Amino acid sequence: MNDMAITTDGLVKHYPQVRAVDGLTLRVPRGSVYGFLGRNGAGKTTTIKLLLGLTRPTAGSARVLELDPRRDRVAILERTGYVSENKRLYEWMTAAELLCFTRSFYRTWSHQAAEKYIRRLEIPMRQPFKKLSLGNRTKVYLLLALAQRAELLILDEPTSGLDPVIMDELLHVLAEDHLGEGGTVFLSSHQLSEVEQIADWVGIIEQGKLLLEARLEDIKNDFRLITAAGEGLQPFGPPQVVSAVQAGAFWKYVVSRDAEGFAARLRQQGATVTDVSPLNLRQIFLELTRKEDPCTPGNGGEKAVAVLSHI
Amino acid sequence: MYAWKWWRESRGRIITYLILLVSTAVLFAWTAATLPFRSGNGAPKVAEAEVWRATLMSLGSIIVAFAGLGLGASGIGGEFEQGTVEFLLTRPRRRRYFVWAGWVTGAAALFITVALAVLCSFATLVYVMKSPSNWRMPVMIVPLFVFGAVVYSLTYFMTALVKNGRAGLTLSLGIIVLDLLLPVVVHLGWRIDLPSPLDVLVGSRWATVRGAHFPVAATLGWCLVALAFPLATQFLFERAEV
Repeated sequence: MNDMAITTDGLVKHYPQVRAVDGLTLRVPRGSVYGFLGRNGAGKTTTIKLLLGLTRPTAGSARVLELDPRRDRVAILERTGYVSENKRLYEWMTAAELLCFTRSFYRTWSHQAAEKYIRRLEIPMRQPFKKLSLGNRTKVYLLLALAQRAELLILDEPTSGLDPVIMDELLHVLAEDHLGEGGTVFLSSHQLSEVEQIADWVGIIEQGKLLLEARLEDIKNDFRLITAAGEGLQPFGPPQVVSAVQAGAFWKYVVSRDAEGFAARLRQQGATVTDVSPLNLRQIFLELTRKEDPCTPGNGGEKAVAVLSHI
Repeated sequence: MYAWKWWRESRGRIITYLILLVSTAVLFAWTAATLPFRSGNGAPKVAEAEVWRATLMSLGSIIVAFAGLGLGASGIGGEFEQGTVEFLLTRPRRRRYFVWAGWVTGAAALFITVALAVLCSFATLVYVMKSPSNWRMPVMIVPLFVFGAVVYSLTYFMTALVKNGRAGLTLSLGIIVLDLLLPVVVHLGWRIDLPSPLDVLVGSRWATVRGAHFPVAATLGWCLVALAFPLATQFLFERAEV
């Protein structure tokens, strides 16, 4: 058995006006929580649609649970739970009816699991879906995906509208039940704090291209913010520099690896390194995806992207 | 289960069409059966039966057309309009399952509606006249249903084509009006007979007029047309990108 739940190779999806996904190569290990991050319009949802066979790729290929989404869509869907970004369900159905409707499609459906999640996520089962708040709609969608007992969960913004208590409960449910049973979670989200809490792998996408894919632990160990002061400091340094910003007498460098080596080089240039501090996922994400050139004029953001592809 | 969902979504409409069609059919059967020329003057009983047939076909076909439009608009196109198509297509079933489960349920509802209307109307005729003039009358279910099925299937297809229930319904209505008018215009102008779904309805004279032929070819032909639309819908739906 392949140890990857999802792989894509040079996946491309072009629409007439947009290159939604542009040569994406992903590796999502089995049994992991993979945080798939990107700004609005970065190509996250299109990627998910390609993985589920909802849309066809312009070029490249994808494998989900070792199956091809173009040919084996039904087999993939039997083993995959999905929470879509739009959270649209039949408005007139109650949550109980939606549960009844959905379970008829799955052989692996667990009635006990459904009962448990109804209690833990405090889902109102008798109200029509149209009368539910966004948070409760999200919970119903999550319930339908979780009770399938799927090998792979693909969650597109699964926590929108959830209050912190339920969000925390959901993260526990995912960690205890799904991952405990060897499942894989592919989590697309803007909630970087929740991704940081649960993910062990992270992929960051921008304009359909993968900027970074690595273990979260490695990213957090390697990325550093270095603050230095000195004459004649260069705004752009060795390849590991993601961004360099001048703030008064100080330069702030974000490096993707070998922070100590880079700090040593700055010192060799006569600079005083005042601080080397770790970055959280949110800061790293912002550094990688900020629109304007983080470095000096003339040194395009593309440079940073190119650098990161070597991580 | 998808058939259950379809029924739950459409039952209000189905019951409305059923009440409309049955009450109209019964009312006109009663009227036809109690017309003054019916009894005592030696007129053949086929007269009131013919009045009943013609009335039922005219009014019935209008109601059935509306039923076909309404039920067709509840099909796959409605899923796009409601935004539920993504949820539906991420369930582990082939796309053709959803197309045919929806279409068969709608066609069954349409058939039951038409059959009940014709049978209730026929029962009224039997009740008022004590003895029916022609036992062929219930066969009128066939032309009325085939006509309705053509409208229903066309609408079902159009909603999938434009990915919108209401827009599909409007387009379908336009095509039906055009298809009913065009043969008449062409016939008047050039004396050429174009096929029309009305041919099937006219053929219902077989039930009441001795010597009239049942339009087997037209009925079969329009049955095939009605079946071609869900096939075309399947073709579209299997290639649709969400």
